[in-house]
Amino acid sequence: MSKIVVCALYRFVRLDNYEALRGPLLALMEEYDVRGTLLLANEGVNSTIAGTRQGIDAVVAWLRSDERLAPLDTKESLHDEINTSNEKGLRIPPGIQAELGKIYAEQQNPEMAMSMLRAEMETYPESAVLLQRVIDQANGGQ
Amino acid sequence: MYDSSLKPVSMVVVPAINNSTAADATNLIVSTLTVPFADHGYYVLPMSIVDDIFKNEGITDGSQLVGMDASVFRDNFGADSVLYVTIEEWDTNYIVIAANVTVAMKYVLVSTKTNEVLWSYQAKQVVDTAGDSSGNLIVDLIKTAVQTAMTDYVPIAYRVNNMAVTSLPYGVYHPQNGQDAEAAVVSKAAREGALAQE
Repeated sequence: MSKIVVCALYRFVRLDNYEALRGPLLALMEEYDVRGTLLLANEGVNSTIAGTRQGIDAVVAWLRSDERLAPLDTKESLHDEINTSNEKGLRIPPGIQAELGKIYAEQQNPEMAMSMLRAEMETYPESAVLLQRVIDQANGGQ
Repeated sequence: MYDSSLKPVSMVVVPAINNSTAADATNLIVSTLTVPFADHGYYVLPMSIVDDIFKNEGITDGSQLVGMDASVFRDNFGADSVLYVTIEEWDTNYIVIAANVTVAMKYVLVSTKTNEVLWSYQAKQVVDTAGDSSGNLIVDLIKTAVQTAMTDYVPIAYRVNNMAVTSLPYGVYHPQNGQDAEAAVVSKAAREGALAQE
């Protein structure tokens, strides 16, 4: 089984024709079996998707082919750390999952944010006081 | 060294006290501290999250925290220890065609249980930024000025941190946790043995 890549991406830009992008994008994601949520709106695109290396590259390349989305920001390196640690049976380095949790929270992705923060607390119980505080604040702020 | 029951598992790094003339040093240093201490076996609370909390509280320089009871960090962050870093020097010195870049830092690790100082260290790195002489004074002057201006402080700060952590006992996540004191005793015994044979 090939390795799954998780990629967070966003770009805030005026997309007047965002509805027209939906069809081709969905078809491309289905073709490559890329999963996840991709938000398209007239203020931009914001997403976390998962799939094979080729699949993620294809979706990112398709988005970047639109000049408004060319400067798209993507984040997968932190996930690489997690994948490498898991493959080698090593403990995931401290803070990686917490940082990812923070990034997901900033991208309005509470499910991924919570799962990352919980994973950090499980790996490093001494982070619990701080991270629980972050979670409580996020819940209180909604 | 100290009561082993106080040995911290986790540490929170608070904003540095900046005694240097470089205003941006405090922000630059933040990114260099996690890895050396984490590699040494300590759980460093995630900097970006901790930093946001300090910023929300209006704390941007460690001097605002001087004299504070360390138990605050236990109650609010769940940290066993708090690391205070002081940037003593972060600057460039010119002496005609010679120049160097200096980074000097002081580290104090305090227990949040007892307010005791668990470890402290001062480290300094001076990097020579003058190149080989070309035999032409003006060329040498320009070369030195350019090389000095281009020297990146961050890798030097990394080196200072790495020097400092070598004097700190390994933390619980390091494979040699709890064995380093023994290793020191063994090497001392070996040294004494070698001296006795002479």
